[in-house]
Amino acid sequence: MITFFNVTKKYPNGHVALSNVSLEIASGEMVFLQGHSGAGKSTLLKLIALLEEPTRGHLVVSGKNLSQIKQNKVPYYRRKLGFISQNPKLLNNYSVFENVAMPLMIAGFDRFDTARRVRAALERVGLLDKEHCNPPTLSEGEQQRVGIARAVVHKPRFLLADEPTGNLDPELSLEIMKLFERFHQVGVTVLIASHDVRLLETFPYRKVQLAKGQLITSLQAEEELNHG
Amino acid sequence: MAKAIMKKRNSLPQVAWRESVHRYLTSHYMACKLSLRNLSTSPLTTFLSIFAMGVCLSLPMSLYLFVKNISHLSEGFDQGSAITLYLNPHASTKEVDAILQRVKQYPFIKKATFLGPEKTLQEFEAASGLKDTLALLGENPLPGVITMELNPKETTETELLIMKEALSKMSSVKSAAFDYDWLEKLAIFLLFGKALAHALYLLIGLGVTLMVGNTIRLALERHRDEMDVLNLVGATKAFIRRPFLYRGMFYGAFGGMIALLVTYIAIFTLSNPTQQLVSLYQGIFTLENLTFYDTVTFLAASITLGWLGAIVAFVQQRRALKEY
Repeated sequence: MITFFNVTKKYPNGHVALSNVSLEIASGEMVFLQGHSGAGKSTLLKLIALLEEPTRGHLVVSGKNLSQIKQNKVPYYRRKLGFISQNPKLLNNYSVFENVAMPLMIAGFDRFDTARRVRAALERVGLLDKEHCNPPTLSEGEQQRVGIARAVVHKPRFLLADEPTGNLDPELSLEIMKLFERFHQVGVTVLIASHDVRLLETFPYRKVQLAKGQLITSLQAEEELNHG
Repeated sequence: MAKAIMKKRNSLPQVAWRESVHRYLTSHYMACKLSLRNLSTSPLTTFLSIFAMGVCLSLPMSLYLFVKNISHLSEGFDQGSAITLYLNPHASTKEVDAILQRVKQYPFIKKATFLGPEKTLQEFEAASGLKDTLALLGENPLPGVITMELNPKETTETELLIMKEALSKMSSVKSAAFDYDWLEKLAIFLLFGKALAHALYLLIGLGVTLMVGNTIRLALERHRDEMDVLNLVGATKAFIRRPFLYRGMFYGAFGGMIALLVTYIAIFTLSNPTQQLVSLYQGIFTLENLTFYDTVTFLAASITLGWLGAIVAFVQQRRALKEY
């Protein structure tokens, strides 16, 4: 479970990205974070990934208050997460296989286990035949899928996706979202930040609406239908 | 059954220990591989950096060899390695004995002989053929002397100069001199050479550290994305830093190898002309090369400098890389 308790995030330049946000995300839930650019969606995900720290309030993930995690334990906490951004930030000098294998190598998996898991992840995103290619030779959609494979290869408990379909055409975007849905179906907690309202409407999951750093609505799919 | 459970329990920490060692070694292997791969992505830049470093490092190495060879050359003059103490004309037997006792305390003195004024005069008369002329003088003008033979392999130029200075200050000693004056000058020159070499080691060491530091700093900027990705997927600070530290060490190691190569080539090139020069003076002298110990020490020092350079780069970039 992920719980935000009156979380405020103010950046050093004075910009308030999140203001007094309280939110609860159940374990295994799939949630969409909606809102325009600058609404605070990315900051919310970064706070969960401990890439940022809240200015006020606190955040509890799986019963652990994140502000109490020691600096040297942060990497071990991050190994429980999978993070996907609009730009998948793949390493161009490394093959697709090596890019995906990165979290496993860091966690100290042996070669045999690494190869098995990487191939399984690549198969899931439909890129097994591209394992020896380098990222620049892939299309944008394929690169995004490599990023997803890298985020899920170590079987994380939480999957955080920040505008994962930002650069993709509608067809490919739908395909990627279905991929996330499959991870949700096997029990992974999935949080997706996107401003693509039309795309999100096709999926029956909770939508959390943010505007100017404030939580506007947090509707379950059924409630949404009733409102509609 | 209980025994089996106990055995299993006892073996658990061992397995964990083995596993953590395996993980540690694997992460170092990966860091090593990553840094070598990153070096190979820009071969020309890498080669130029390493070559510049090698040339820099070859300077102190060459100076070290030069001083070593000159020292070796001076050791060849065994017969000249003697010091003579000229005593005051009125030095008593007791004072002479005291000087001899003092002289024998130095472990590198092979033999010390006292020649009284009469004996000195006799030797001088025999050697110069001026017996009649000397007879015209009312009294013996020559002082008593103590000649000392040294074992040059057991001493250094510094020790000899210190001993000479100490003996000169004794009340019954008028002066002390090396039998071959140029040897004393050579000893002073060698001292200067060694001091210069030490200063150069420090300067070049500092230069190489800063050079590696700057190269690594640029690499840190270039590989920022890679560091961000590693950070995001749960790499520890040590894991992120390690490839750069290895990179610094590789710069040091390869630079050191180039410096050694340059030095070996210089020795090889100079070897024949030196032989010819020495043979003109009926001497036997071969240029001394680097020993195995010298080579290993030098390589270890250059690797350490590379590693220090990488540390310097992280210190320089500590604000920009605060999460690493």
